[in-house]
Formats: sequence, C-alpha cells, structure tokens
Amino acid sequence: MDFQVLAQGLVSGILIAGIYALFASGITLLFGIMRIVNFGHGELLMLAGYISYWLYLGFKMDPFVSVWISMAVLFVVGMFVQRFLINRVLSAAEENQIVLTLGLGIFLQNAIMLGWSPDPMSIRTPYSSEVLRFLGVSISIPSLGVLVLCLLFISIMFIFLTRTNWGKAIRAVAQSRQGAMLVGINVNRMLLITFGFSAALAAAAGSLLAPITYVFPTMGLSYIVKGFIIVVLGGMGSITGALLGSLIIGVVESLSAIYISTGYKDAFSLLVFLLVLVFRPGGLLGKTRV
Amino acid sequence: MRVGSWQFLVGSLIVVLVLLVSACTPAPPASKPAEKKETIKYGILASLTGAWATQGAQHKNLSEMAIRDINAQGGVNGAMMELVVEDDKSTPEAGVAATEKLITRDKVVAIGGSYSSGVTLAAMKVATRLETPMITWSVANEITDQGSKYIFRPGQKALWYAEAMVKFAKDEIGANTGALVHTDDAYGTSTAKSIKEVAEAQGLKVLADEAYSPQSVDLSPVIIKLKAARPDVVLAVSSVNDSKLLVTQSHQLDFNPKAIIGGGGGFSTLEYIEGAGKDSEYTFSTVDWTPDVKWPGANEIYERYQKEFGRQFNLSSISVAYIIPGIVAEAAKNAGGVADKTKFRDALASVDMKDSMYGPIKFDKNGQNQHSVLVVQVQNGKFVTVWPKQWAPTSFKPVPSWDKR
Repeated sequence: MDFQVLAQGLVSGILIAGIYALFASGITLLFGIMRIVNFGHGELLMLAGYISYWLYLGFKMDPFVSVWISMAVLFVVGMFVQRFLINRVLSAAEENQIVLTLGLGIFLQNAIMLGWSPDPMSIRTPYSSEVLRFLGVSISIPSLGVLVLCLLFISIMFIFLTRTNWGKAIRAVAQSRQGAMLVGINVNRMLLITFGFSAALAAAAGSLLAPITYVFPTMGLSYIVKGFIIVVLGGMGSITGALLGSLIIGVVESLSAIYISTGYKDAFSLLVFLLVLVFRPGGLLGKTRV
Repeated sequence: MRVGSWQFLVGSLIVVLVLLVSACTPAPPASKPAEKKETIKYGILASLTGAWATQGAQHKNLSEMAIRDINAQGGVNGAMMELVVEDDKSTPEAGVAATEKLITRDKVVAIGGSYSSGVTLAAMKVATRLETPMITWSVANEITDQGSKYIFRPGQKALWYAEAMVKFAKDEIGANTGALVHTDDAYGTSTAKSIKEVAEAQGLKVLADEAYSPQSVDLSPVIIKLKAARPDVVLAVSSVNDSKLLVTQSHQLDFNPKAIIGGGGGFSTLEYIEGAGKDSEYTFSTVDWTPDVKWPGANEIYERYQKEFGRQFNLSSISVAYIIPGIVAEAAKNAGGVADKTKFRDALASVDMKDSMYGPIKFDKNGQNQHSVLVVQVQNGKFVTVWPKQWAPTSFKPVPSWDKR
C-alpha cells in the first residue's frame, strides 16, 4: 500500500471526525456544565434529521440551509426539555437522570415511528457525490462542508463560553450552582441556554448527516455509543477534548480498517480508548475527579 | 396506609379486568344458523412491529389482496377463505406464541410467514408438532434442509442467491476475481460465508473479504481497500444505509469494478434508488421476484398494490405472500376440502402450478420449490430484470466508469 492509500485514509478519518465532533461536543457541554449525561442526545440528532427531511420534502430546501432552522428549532426544544423535564431531576440521584433521558430518547424514537414511518428517508443533493481531487486523494465536498461548519459551530461555542458575559456566567454555574446563585447569576436561565446549545449541536450533526446517510427513527443509536466514547476519551466536559477525541477515533478507525480489517475497526478504536483510560483515567484533557 | 390502598387499587383493577374480559369473550354460539359452507382459515405470521415492520406490513397487505381475489372468484369450491393475521413482533418468542394461537385457537389450515428466518425456524417446530403446514417466505437454508413434512417454501433458499451472484458474475460479466463486502451481523456473515464457498468452488477468486457494521456512517476505508485489491466485481451483502454509502463513496473515490452485485438486501430496495440517486444506476442485485419478469400477472399485482396502498412493495421475499393463499386454495381444491388434514397436507405437497405470478411452483420432498433467482439492474431509476434470459425482458447494460457517466 502506497502513500496515496495512507493519505486517503487520513483524509477520510478527518472528514468523519467532523460529524463525531459536532455530536460529542453537545454531550460534553451538557456534562461539563450540568453534570447530566443525556442518553436522548441521539434522538435530538434524529429529530433534526427529520426537520431537514421535511423541509426538503416541502420546499426542496438544501440541508446546508435547513441546518440553521433545525438548530433554532432544537434550541427551543432543548430549552423546553430542560425547563419541564431535566430541571426536576437536577438534584435527584443519577439513576433518575439516566432513566429520564433514556426514556425521552425512547419516547421520541417511537413517536416518530408511529407518527411518520420506520422507513429510511433520503435527501438528495445534486452535489452529494462531488469531490475535490488533490494529488490523487479524493475529498468529498459535502463532507468537507460538514467539517468546515463543525469547526465554525464549535469555535462559536468556544468564544461564547470564554469571551461573553453569559458564557462566563455559564461557566460559573458549572463550577458551583450555589456560588453562582449567591453572586446574582440567574442559574435557571443559564441552564436553559446550555441545554439549548447542546441540542442545537446535536441538530447540526443530524441535519448535516441527513444527505450523507438516511433519516430514520433509530438513526441516533449509531452515534450515541461512539459519542460517549469520544467524550470520555477527550475528558468529560472538555470541548477541546471532544474535538481531539473525535479526531483520534476517526483516524484510528479509518487507518485500522484499511491496514488491518474493517471488521475490527471498532476493536482498535476501543483499544485506544482503553489505553488512554489506563494511563489517564480522566481522559486526555479531563481533570480526574476524586 | 399507602401500601394498603395500593394493594386495594391493584386488586380492584384485576377484578374489573377479569369481569371485562369475561364479558367480552363471546359465549359459545348456542343456536347459530347452519353455515352455508365452512370457511377456509389461513393464518400469517407478519412482522407488524419490530425490526421488520416495513416488510411485515407489505406481507399483510399482499395476503389480504390475495384472499380478496380468491373470494371474488367464488372461493374454493364455494367455500370462502378467511385471513387471520398475527404479529410475530420480529422475534422468535412472539412467533412461537402466535403460531400456537393460530393453530389451536383460530384453527387455521395453513400458516404463511415469516420474514425473519429466526422466527420461521422457531415457529416451524410448533407447526410440525401440531401437524399444520407452514408455507414460508424466509430464506435460511436450514428451513427446508431439515426434512419436516409440514414446511413448504415457494421461494429460493439463501444458497441459491449466492450461486446466482457468482454465476452471473462469471458467465455474464466475465469476472475472474471478486471482492466480498458484507454487514457484520448474523445475516451478513452467514450469507457472505456461503458466497465465498460458492465463489471458490466455481473458480471466482476472492481477493478481499470485508465486514462492517450495518450502522456505519462512512465506508470509505472499505472502498480504499477494495480499490487497492482491484477485483473485477464486488459482491455485497448489505442493508439499506450501507448500500447507498457503498456506491456514493465508490463514486467519490473513483473505484470502478466491472460490476457491483448486491445479494438482495439493501441493493434491491426502493430506498436505495431514492437515496443513492444517479449513483445507483447500473448496479445489480439478486431478487426472488420482479414486476417485469415474464410470469403472468406479475406486473398487474404490482400496479394494483401501488394504486391501493400508495406505495410500492420491496422486491426481496415480499411478493411470495400473494401466491401462498393461491397455493393453499389449489391444495384445498385438489383435496376436496380441508376437513381431512392429512389429505390436505398431501395435496399441498403435490401442488403443481405452471404459470403463477411467482413462476412455476412444484415442491420437492423437502417442501422446497425450484424457484429461479432473478438478477435486476438499475436502469433509469428503475429495477429491470436482466437475468436469467428465460424470464428477463431485456439484457443488462455494461457498466461505464464513473468519469464516463
């Protein structure tokens, strides 16, 4: 196998990392700020996929346009979920939180299955097979678009959290909910915004994936496990960690599939994951909690 | 006294439920007017919920259509046929329970189903024990290899799909080498194994054998490997999502085999053509039935179905659900009714239908029909039957490389 194969493998790994990163950063944001692990995150992605599909069906809208709408819708949905569901279990035992988010996911999945259909639906874009060829390496244009948007969204998120007053307030809430309340931060509002952002990131992944694969009620399941692996690998709560984790998992999967066996690509990414945990139990960029 | 009141509530609920159920169960008809003629009850195991819900609904619709057609033509010697549908929930456990119910409570004379081989293998044990014929639409080899007297299969076994794929690749495409790609679930792995065995026996060299998860969102590593191996043809056992990824990413990575041949599965679904669009053109798939095959009435059923249900049905192991009530009716006619169960079974075993919409039907001693596997090619966004010549209306188009499309 020559240089071209290696380069192509690297490019494929980096491109798929974009989707992983969008999805994982939503999970990690929620965990970092609220200490909530959202098992329904995959279904928020699925919901966004359907929004893009419906907009395509009704108005022939391109997913790169409808992604903005689905993000806005999911931001609101996320705030509702936070206000009426998550808020009630914020200080409850962890099992209760898990059951609630898991239940939300199962509910959404079945609601779509009943209300729409279990069949895979597709969005067709005229450029779905277009590629850039560079030194014999093919770069898929839609995947490249996803990667660019992914970096954009995550940078916006990062700047928001580090540079703005609201972002600082949110980080204060993450450090200590009580402390934040004492200095006059509207904690409930910050939590609403956080959940909204997390849902919007899932929405970005869902809408951008829709034209690459299919939209179907259980589509979230393909990502949820991988999402958690990436989040833990990068360090729970760290957005840069999620980016790094996505890149590692994407590239390891791609290269191990090419040089060893596609059947074992998950085995190799899990092996890397375990090795990281052995030497850094808190993940690559995470703090080990005592 | 919380616990006490709960117990009271649950207790009274149970009492109410019991009362309701007993009120709903009809009392045995004391003096029902003598029926003109007995009805012939035919039951199906349809996967109405669970993993195969899409296919299950299509089996149910086609069974209903068939029963309606038979009754509209006067039924079987004047007796009407009646359909009893049970949901096997796509699981063997529910399939077994549904089979027992169909035979012992509903007293059906024959059972059709199910889509999943796992369900059929479990349910056929019950049917054999209760001596009721089961006519299946699933494909696992073992089903008719066990020698049960009560199992019949009008369609083909999985092995014949593999044989058709390899034969088509060698004789029609002229391939000497092939690469195998398949999903890593039970279906994909076992089918791929038999394709590999057939290929090696027939002298088609297998250069690569790649498994991947059916939930993959990126198959470019697979394509990169295949491209390096340079096979003449790609033989694929896939579900819907990965079929689309295989062809769109082959296009993106400029991988040009002489043919991509799917073993049914995703490559024979409408979702695949819808999803992959132009990239699905020229790809092949094995199927058990097509609307344009030269079997009388095939196209008519397809069009009527579309008119009635507003949607086409899938090509793999679906249309057979329409012919089974016809087979049951034929056997009942030959046996002079269904009252004698042994006579009915023997009549079923010796059914000989020369031109049904599902091709010729004649069971061997294992209940297996020598059904012909067909090969379709996507041409102008539609599946067109291209092989075998005996049944195909046209021949296949050679596959151009991606840059010449």
